[in-house]
Amino acid sequence: MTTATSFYDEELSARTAAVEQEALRLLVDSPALIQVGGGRYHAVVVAAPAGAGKSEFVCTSVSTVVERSGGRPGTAVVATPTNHQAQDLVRRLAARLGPRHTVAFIRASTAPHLPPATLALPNVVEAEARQADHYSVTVGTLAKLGDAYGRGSVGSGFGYLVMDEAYQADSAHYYGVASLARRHLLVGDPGQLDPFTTMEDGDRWRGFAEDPVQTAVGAILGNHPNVPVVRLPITRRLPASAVPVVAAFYPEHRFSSWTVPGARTMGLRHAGLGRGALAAVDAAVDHAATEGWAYLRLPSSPVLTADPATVEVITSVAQRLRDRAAQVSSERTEGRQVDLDLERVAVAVSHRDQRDQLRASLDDAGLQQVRVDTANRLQGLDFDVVIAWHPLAGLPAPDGFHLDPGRLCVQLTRHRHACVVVGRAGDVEVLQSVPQIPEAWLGEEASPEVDGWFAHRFVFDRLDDHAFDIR
Amino acid sequence: MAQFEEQLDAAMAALRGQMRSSGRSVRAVAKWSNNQRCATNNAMFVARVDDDRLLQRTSLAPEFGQSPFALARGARVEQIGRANQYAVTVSLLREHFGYGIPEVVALDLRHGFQPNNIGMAQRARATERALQAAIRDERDAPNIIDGAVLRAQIGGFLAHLEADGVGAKTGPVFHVNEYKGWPVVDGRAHDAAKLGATVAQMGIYRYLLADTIDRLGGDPDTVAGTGLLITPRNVGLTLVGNPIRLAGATRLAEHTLANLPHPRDFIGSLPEGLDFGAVARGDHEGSRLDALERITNRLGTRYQESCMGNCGLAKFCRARARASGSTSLVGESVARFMPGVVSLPRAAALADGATPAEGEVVTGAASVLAAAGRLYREKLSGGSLPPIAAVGGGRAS
Amino acid sequence: MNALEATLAAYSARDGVAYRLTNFRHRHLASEPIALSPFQPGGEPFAVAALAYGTGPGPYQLALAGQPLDRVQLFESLLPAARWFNTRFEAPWGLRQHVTRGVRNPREVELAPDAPQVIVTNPGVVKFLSSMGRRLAFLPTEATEGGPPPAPPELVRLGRHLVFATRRYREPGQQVLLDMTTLAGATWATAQTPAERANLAALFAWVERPGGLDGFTAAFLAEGLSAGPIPNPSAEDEIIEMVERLGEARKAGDRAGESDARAEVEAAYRALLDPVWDLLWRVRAAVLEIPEEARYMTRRLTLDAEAYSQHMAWMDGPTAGRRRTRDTVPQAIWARRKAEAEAAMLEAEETISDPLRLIPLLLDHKAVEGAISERDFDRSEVKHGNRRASAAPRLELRTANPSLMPVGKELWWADDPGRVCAEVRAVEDDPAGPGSLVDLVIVKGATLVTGLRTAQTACFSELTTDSFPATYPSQSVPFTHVPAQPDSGPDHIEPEGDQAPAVAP
Repeated sequence: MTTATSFYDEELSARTAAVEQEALRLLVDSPALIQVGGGRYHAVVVAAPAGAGKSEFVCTSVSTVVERSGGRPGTAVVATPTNHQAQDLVRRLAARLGPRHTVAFIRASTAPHLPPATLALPNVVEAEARQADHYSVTVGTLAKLGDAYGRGSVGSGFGYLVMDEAYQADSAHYYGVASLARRHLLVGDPGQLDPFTTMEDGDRWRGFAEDPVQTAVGAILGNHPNVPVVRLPITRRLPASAVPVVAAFYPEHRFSSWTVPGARTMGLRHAGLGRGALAAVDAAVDHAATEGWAYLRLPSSPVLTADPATVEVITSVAQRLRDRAAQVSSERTEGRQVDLDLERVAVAVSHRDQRDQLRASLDDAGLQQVRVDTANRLQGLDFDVVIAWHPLAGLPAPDGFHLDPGRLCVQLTRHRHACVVVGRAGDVEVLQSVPQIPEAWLGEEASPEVDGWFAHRFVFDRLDDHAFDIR
Repeated sequence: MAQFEEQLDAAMAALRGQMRSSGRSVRAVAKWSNNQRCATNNAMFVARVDDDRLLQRTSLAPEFGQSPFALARGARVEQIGRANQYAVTVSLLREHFGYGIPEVVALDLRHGFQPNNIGMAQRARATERALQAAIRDERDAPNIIDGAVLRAQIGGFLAHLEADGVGAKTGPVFHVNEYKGWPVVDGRAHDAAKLGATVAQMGIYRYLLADTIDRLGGDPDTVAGTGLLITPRNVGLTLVGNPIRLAGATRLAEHTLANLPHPRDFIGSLPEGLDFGAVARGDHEGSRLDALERITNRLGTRYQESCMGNCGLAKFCRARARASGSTSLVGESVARFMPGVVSLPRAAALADGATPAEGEVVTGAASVLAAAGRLYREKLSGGSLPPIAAVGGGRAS
Repeated sequence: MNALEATLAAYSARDGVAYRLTNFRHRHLASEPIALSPFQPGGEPFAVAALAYGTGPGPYQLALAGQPLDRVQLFESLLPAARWFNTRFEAPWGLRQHVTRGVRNPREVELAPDAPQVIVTNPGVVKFLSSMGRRLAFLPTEATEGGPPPAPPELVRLGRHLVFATRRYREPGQQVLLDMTTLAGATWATAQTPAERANLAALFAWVERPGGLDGFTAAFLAEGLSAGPIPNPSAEDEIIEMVERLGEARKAGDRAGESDARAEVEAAYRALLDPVWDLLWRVRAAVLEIPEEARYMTRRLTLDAEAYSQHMAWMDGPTAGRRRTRDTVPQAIWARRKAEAEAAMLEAEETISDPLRLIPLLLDHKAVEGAISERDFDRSEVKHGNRRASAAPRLELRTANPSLMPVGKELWWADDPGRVCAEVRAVEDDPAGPGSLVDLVIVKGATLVTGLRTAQTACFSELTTDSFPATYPSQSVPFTHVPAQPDSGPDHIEPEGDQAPAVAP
């Protein structure tokens, strides 16, 4: 059992705090860097690896500017891509700001209301867009705030626009809200899934400044390359064991884990089976418990996307965690071993039919509490243990969708303790020795297909040390 | 050449047999990369077999070659770039990379050399001398090397690759230049696949240039991370410079050159007396195809969608896929739905409701095919599947 | 690619024939379309070597440049084609009427009864026509000091029509410009790779199977035919020599030699065009035989007529149809929104109206259909967001196959996919059959489901034709989307001034 003080890398915490302070200084105190049409504007981008504590940083930023302004109405407007993210921020901001400052939530008419617990907080209101300027902090989705601005229900008088998940938001949504304030803070994780379009001809504007599908960060940096980008050097969610693997998704961005090696542990109260069909699964689970990773490989074979055998193996992994009474300890439990709560276990997949088959299989095994969803839906969430269905599992040939590193990144960065990757032997062969030469667009500096290839290769190389083959 | 290299060269010549060889070039590497898991493709790459020639004058001959009009246009663009002492190129280098050249010192390596290996080796040496002069900041060091030739290790052998141009300005700072005949229209390259191939190509040149400069005692970081792609602009033939960031392409080049198939893995891969030359020569189609059959049976092939239009053996491999009913006949994206099913006719039988084998059930393919077949019969207008038309014409309706 | 297409590819391979992918034809085929079949010189996106044009099978009219890189010869050869095209393309505008459009802000516009239709062989030709349009649309029509000679306004008009049509081509479901390869590919499955199916002759050979040959053999024999826009390299090797001779004869003032060489070039291109022209019309005829989908076609044809009318109104305007070459940021945002909405709409319409198109959704558990085993129309419940209870009929569907539909999923009734929505409440194994029992409750449009009171079966899918009206983004561009370094100009148009010599090298 570890003592309280040895959970954290204090030097990293201090360094991170300094970086965050610097980002805030750049946001609040720096002279406006951007001059357009006689007006002066300013922006700061904060890039954070998965689980860095972005939302906490957003709260810190909002709290800072609210303190500075003395709680002036219209100080900060906070925007996020999804309603769930917006509502989560309302709750956190209300807690952080305290009773003196009210957080107003602008709800889209088709979206659900705030959860009763949040609404019950004394400093939270659901407000009409027209009332936003009465409150020091307003929160809403990018779509709703953009719509409100477009109709004239909110104006340009806010002090700061703070956008969370700015690498998930697209340029079109940014356009809708950009005029709300003259100083912008964009916070996001560049490793995760990019915004996408359902247009068939989605490359119509690719590489051009007017591309509505590029990320919000891409849009502003493309037009104003002098906007500073501050990188947070920390992940709070991921255990120390995860960093060497997920570094694949952050090539220019060094970071470490907040918790020291050994701070997060996992144990299994009942021994595994030494032999039989589940031997490899048990060995993998044991290994994941101590090393933080395991890579279970079914035999190399062509398979359907929603391969029944893989569904079975993944279900077994979840079953063994339950049947062997997995336990976890961390800074949250103050080092005490507690039973792994199955609601803190998730299965991350790439396709909806994989999800549907797994849902049925897990339910049949009495594992209703285990969450299964696609990477798209799991963005922003965290769990104790994640089982990841490798995107390239059984694929005959690589394509942009599966090579997209964002998908694998989301799958491998949800866990606090351990991640078990499930695929097939020979998946790495899909990559071949060398990436295929992809199409290119002027104005696009990096090739996502080639970068994705190298990221996948890197991950395979690291996971090789944690591999267990199912015969 | 070292003794080992000589042995390799002899072994590859034997593998190739008496037929035309293809050069080692960026294009050959790109072509190879389309199907890296096909052993025949790999063998043809290391033995420098000109696969487009293999089946000429047979019923399985591929369409190949470049349009003479396209070649002429490309030549025209380069000509414009070179005219009047490289006036246009220099002005573009000035515009994009700040070349402040009071006087153009151009080294023309395109003319005056033999169009063979000896000539290429001479050009490579001349290139290195020019680079050396620039590194040493000599007074009349060339600031444009037209038709620079760079040495590269490709598939275990020394190759000479020809870049369109290298610019060198005071510093020194070096830039990779490439001319293309296709236009950039309203800020967009006319063809995204061609731009992709060009970026990869420029990445290879940048990598080799940095490597060469390193060998000559210079600093490889003096090769700028951005190269210049020179193309016609919009609808005319005015040339425009398109700066291309090459960091990713350079990394890709390094990785590619380090992972090409190696000839030593193919020594003795075919028995004595059997070589690719036997396929390319002769008037008797039957025996030529026979030889190819024996070669591909020995080495193995991997027919896939990208083969057609890329490899000279595509029609041959397609015919074999058809004969065996292999799912590769219809492309990887379809084969994905039939795991464990040995052939397309078998998949059709399963779709008709045939009793599946264990291997077909376990992957889930059998139930998907059966469900699809059932629904299709149910929902196709008219109720029944179209009959196979009798001889004498007819169309599936 | 989906499991049905894979299955049909297997059937196709086994039987050597093409298999139908759809029961209906989802594109209208105009009775007298404007057919264009061009060949460009390889690598020359802005020159037409030869163009066949007409409105029906049989003899085509031919525009032949001789030396397509010579501006004078090119424009001269295209002028009659331009006049011909413009007359036909503009004809529906001649029948326009005043109508009132818009509900909140009604305005009077002129609306043509329908849009013209242009047909070509493949997407490569569409791309080539868009390049030609790009060149022609910006030709100067007035002489300038030291500039190029003015171009005939008919050519500029042709260019602007081509720009409109090729841009319209990108919109889902449009029918102003159709290529036969995409149309045929959507209609028939074959035992070919997608790359092979991009070759119109090879694809259609599986459908037509001349002489009763099997599909493989027929395609093998047909695949050497290039349907444009670039001829096979072997053909061009011969043509380039003839063009060079033509050029020399012209330079030397040798009228007879010039005429001979020109005749040779014409014969060469006719030899290339004759089979392509024939193929184009045969494919159209085959697709025409398939019954047209009636339910949703009208809406899409109206959209085409509106787009065409806006284009023609702009052509009549002060700039005579001159357009920007790049979208502004708000234009791009709006275009994307519209394209996404229309793509969703089109997918819903084509899938719901065509039982074969529904199959992939059923296989993927994105739709359910089955016999109605129970129904309760006297139910009501308090729906999400409401305070009082309202009618909420319940249905139980008995499916033939096990359903993996997730509970809570919202599905739309196939008979009224824009207005009737149901929620999946339960999915259980059917004790009396191989499939499932799916419990659905109508949460939207409960008053519109009288048909379900008596129907034997029902189908619900996740596709809907419901749409949200969108507002056009603000025209005032925020600082974030204004570049610090502005581009060389909004239009990237330079005066037409080829640095090229008048003759091909």
